[in-house]
Amino acid sequence: MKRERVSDDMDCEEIRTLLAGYADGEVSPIEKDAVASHLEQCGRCRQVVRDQQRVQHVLDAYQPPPVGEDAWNGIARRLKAEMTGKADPTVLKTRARVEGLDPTPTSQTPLASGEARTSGRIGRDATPTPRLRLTTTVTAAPTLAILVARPRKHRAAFGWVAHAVGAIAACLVVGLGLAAMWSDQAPPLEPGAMARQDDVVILEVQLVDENYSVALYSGDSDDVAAVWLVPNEAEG
Amino acid sequence: MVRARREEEAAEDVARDNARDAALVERLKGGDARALDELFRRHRDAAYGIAYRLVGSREDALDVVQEAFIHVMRGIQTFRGQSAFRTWLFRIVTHASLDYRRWRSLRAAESLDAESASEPAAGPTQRTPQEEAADRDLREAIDSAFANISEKNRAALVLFAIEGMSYKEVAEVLGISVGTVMSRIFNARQRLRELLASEIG
Repeated sequence: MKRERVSDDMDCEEIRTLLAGYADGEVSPIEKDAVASHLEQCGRCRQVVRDQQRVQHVLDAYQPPPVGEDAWNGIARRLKAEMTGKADPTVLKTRARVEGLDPTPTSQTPLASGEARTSGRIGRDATPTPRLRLTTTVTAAPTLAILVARPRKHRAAFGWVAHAVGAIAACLVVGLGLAAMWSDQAPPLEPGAMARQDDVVILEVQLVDENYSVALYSGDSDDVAAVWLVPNEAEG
Repeated sequence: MVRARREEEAAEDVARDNARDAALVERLKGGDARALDELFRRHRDAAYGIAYRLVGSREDALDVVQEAFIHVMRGIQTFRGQSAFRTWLFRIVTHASLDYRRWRSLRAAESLDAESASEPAAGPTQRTPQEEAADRDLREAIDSAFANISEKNRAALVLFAIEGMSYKEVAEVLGISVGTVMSRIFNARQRLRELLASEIG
């Protein structure tokens, strides 16, 4: 935005983009002068500025309903429990697969290790709820040793044997690693559970009804990117 | 002269607060639960103010605040301190609030329970006598009006009007330009002006 290049003869359409900033004292001195000059001769824009200030005045005087200390302390206790109940403070990774609705691309790189944690909500969900199965695949961090069989020069005749052995060993290690990842399963998550994987964080799973829950899902640690409707699994 | 001094003092306060937050963030990264508690106590009101304006009810706003701080706890290792902690937190609260609203809409659409779907937007359950005495009509009118302006415009206005952030700070939180912030705030207030015509004259 070219905010410094403001001419004195701006029309209402152009000046309008600056009126909120003018009303809030958020424009540059040059912009302020230009707007003031325009307002001297334009009653309509003066009215718009007055409207902006009037609404702001109402909002300034308005406060959300207060929250009692008990409610705050309840959240503080919950946060402390989350914090102190954490077994491993390092960032863990989980491959989360929701039954019938896999949130992750099937081609995603296998993940290293995982966590599945439940979280409650304030004064809610007191009744038993159907369990949501969020299948998490958990393994120890894979350490894939790439074995390279390097034939010795003086035994070149057996070089192909060494290459074959190396290739078989590498396939074996990769195969075992993948098998381990896909076989281990973490317990199903309760509604309100959180899970993390490489670039996906399931922030919250909430019950909709006996058939469906909703998972709030973030593409990174900052931005909530999607909401999934997830079928519940009846508690067995 | 006096105004300049006030602004200088305010800037010093902000710098001091940010430095305190940064120290707490480092402790939290080290696993100190008390640091999270202090960060929560320092910013809970502001986080609640944003969440309330965006989700429209006290209980939902408290849920959002709780989830936002859990997100802070879990994501603190990814916070590099390139922006103030407060900015990062407000970004989380804003996104969580907007998604919470979408989730509520989805839930209402899925539910056949008409009573649940028509639940009032604002339903405080622990009202104080002072609050009872407040201008309830105006509060409800503002709540209703807020629900009828677009999410993007509402978020910009809430961060500026309710939390007193500068346009620049709002731009950082929302990841947009200052010019866009100005435009969104303008449009939000114009819309509120229309919706609250009978209340504010």
